[in-house]
Amino acid sequence: MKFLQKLPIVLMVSLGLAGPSFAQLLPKGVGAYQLGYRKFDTNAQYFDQDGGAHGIGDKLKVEFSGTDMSSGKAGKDLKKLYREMKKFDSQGATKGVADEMNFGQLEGEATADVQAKFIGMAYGLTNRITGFAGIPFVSARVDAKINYSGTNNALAIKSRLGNMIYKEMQDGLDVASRLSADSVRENIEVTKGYAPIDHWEYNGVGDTVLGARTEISGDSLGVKRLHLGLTGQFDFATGHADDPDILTDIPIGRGYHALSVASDLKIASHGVETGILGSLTQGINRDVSRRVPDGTELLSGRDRKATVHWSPGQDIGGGLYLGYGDSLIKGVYTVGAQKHLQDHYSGSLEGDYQAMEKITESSRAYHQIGLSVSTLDAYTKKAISIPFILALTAHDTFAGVNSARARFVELSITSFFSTPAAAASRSTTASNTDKKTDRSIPKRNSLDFSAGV
Amino acid sequence: MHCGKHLFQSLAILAVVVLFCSCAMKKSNNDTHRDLAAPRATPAVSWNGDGVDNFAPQISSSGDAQSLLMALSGCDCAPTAAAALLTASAVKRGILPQVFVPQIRETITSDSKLQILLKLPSGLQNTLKSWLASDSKIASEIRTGISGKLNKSLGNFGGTTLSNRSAFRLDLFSAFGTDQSSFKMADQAARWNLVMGGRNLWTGGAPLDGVDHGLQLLETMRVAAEWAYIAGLSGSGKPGGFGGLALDVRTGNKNLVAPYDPTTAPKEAGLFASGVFTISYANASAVDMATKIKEKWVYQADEVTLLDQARLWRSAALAFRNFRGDLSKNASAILGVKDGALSSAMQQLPLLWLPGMGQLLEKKFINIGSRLILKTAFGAEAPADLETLLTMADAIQEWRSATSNLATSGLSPAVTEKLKGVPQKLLVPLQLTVQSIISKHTFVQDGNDVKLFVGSNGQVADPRLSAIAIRILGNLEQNGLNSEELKAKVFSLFASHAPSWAAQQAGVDAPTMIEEYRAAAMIAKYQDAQEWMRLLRDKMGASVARWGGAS
Repeated sequence: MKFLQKLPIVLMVSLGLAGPSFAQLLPKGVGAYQLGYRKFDTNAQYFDQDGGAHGIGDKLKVEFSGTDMSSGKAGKDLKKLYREMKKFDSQGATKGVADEMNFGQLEGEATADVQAKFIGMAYGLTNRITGFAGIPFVSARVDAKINYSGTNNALAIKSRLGNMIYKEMQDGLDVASRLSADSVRENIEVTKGYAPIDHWEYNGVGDTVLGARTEISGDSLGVKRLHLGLTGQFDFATGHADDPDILTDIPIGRGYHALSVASDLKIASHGVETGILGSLTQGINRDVSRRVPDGTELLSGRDRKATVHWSPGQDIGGGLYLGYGDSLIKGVYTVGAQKHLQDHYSGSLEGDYQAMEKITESSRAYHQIGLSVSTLDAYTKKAISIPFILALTAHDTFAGVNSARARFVELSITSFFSTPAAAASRSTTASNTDKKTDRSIPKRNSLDFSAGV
Repeated sequence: MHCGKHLFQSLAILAVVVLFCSCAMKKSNNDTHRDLAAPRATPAVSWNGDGVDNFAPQISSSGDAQSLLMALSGCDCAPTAAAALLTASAVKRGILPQVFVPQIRETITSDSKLQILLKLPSGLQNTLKSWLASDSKIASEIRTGISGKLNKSLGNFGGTTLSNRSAFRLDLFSAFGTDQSSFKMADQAARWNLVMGGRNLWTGGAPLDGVDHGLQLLETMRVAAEWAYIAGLSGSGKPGGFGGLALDVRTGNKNLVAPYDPTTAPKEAGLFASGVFTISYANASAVDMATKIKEKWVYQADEVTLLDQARLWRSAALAFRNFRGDLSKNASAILGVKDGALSSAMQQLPLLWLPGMGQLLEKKFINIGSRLILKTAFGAEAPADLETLLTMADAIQEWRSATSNLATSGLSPAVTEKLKGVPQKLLVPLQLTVQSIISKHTFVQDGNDVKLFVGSNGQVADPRLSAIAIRILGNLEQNGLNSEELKAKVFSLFASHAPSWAAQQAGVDAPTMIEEYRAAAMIAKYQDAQEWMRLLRDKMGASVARWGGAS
């Protein structure tokens, strides 16, 4: 039976890893490097189209009866069997044979162990522009299992109806009577031609990022303590994209190149910092391989695989944050939301492209809390020889539609280095302005390669 | 007299009456005629309350004769009523006078003595004709010849012989009303069911009228002659020069087709019969009519309804079953005797209608895309009504039954091979029909009752229709579909109707009463219904005793 849907964990990592950015402006000639580690919750969840949160295994749950059969969730063949059986029900009958069919149920268990390490580098091209690049290394492992349970009355119904029903229906009931976890798995792997669903793993890079950031100080605009940051970045689709022949894989990257612009407006006073964030991402169209549903089944067979043209929808993000701390320790709370507008697919193979598109429209709301320790001030005062920022972040997606519930913790460390260009710049700057220090590093700020809005 | 005797001795050929004559007369033209209005009062029979086995019909001038004929077909009940109707058919004038019946006409025209007579000068010829071959003499000789053939067949299986009956005729196409010049094919189809539905001739049961089986055999001959005439078949099975009142699925129902040649007909050809036919001919002596006069038919197209066609198909299936030696104890004796009433070649005659049935079902009566069974062919797409669906299911089931296990049928290997897949092929339209009956004409719980609705508009089927549903669906369930689900529906339907049926007294129309009887008899065939029937009879008293089969 064709019942499985693509695992919802497809979105789980992509949001976090697709766009590492660098939210910091470095002085000219100063470089920064960042190392990070992110660990996702193995008890992963997803939000369905109605916003309900479920365990990943719930997505695999199929009742081979009533609603799931009539809706097609239990597969094309059972939907057809239900529909045909319904025609033998009398009009007005409260419950006919079709609704008496009960072939048991299937439940799934799935765990995803996803970890990411990332390396980022930034460099102050000028005192106003900082370029940055980053690349994540991802280790993902998915283990899935399906269990069949319940009673199966297919043969009893077949016997009861006798030759009153068509041979195809009798054959269908025979097949239904043999439903089991193994038969389902066989259908997926042999008939449909998917890779074994029990286990999938990936070790490789995610999407690579290249971008630049600039900041405009409010001082120059006549508003003290105000900072307006602008970031532009390009995501290269170097990460593992959705494989149409693998059901349980996780797209590590977006699957398409994308251009993003983001801005943040911050205001700080007496240790309190608050601001708003906004971003817009536009993907670049590309041709990809997909299994195009024919409108009758949820899990398309190998014969439905075709090259389709993919026009990604935009990503729109926004958020608020509030931070408090001093030059050594600082805590930040962020709440935000992201929406991915519907993708569009087209291709020469006739099929239900709308169904493909419908599930691409997603949204999620998240919050995260972070704590960072910075030695920048101490380094400036020559109290410590290595400038670094150590940050710990916990992230949770508390609401969403058609999206994964991303929950992770992240640890990162950022350090800095100087180049001759920095020295030259510093000497010029020092002679003109500040001769108290001889170490040029950025001011303490949110410094993060990993979690843009 | 010698000439006439010789002539009518030749009527012995009537044994192979239908298929083995050569005919010279060309088919009459098939002009349509719009002025044909043939209002016919149909005989109706009402029940006098004496119980179904002693049912003595009171024929009136109005009512639904077709319903009565169908109710009696295969009933194995009401023999008095069936015999009365068959007798009426036997003695009444038909639309096509017997001298126009190809087999009789051919016998007359090929008689050598009569040929000499016809070559005499007209004055002498007329004198001798009125002496040697008067109309009454010819009629008498026809009767004698036919009686001889019937007696040969009846005697061959040890049955009673034809008694000294009052005059009977072999005119074709019974007149159902007062109009003696036109007939409606649908009326004939209902009569064919009555004739072919009687099993006692073929299985050795008691004669319908308590006298002999001659009446049934005569009517069987008549039906066979009618089918051959409609198809325009000659004795060799090739198209001949007489008759030809059939239509073809390929050309629709506007014009009649050329005589049907089953040996050369393309696969997609499909014979069927429908419409109203009006005959005209010049009045003359019997000899002149047989030798010189050509009958002219005017065909008026009518709606080709599935109900009428299903009745026709059903009658053919019943005939095919009757003619099978392995299914009918007396078939071999009746068909096998030399110079008897029917020949062994007759066994294939009902197959005439089978290709047309297949073509009509596939191309005209079933919208395969929407799987809708249609009420009419060649017209607007309207869903078939409940009675139509039930009759269609019955017809298909009879064909499935008649064409099953052909190895012992006595048919040639070639024919057997051709018919091999018929039962299975017909299973799908049968299942679709049952599905349509159940889903579109619903069995709905109504309080404590399960009622059969004729549609989704809340109209409950009348008792006759409900009884037909019980009988036909019960038969399907017992003989092929083997469905507990269907059985449960049939039982429920019967349970909700039985009390009111049992309480019925005189005044119920005959078709309804007979159908109720048959429904009860069908239920009584279920082993697990025996106790139920007993309880019902105890509860209802003697009024339910008329439901035979319940013990």
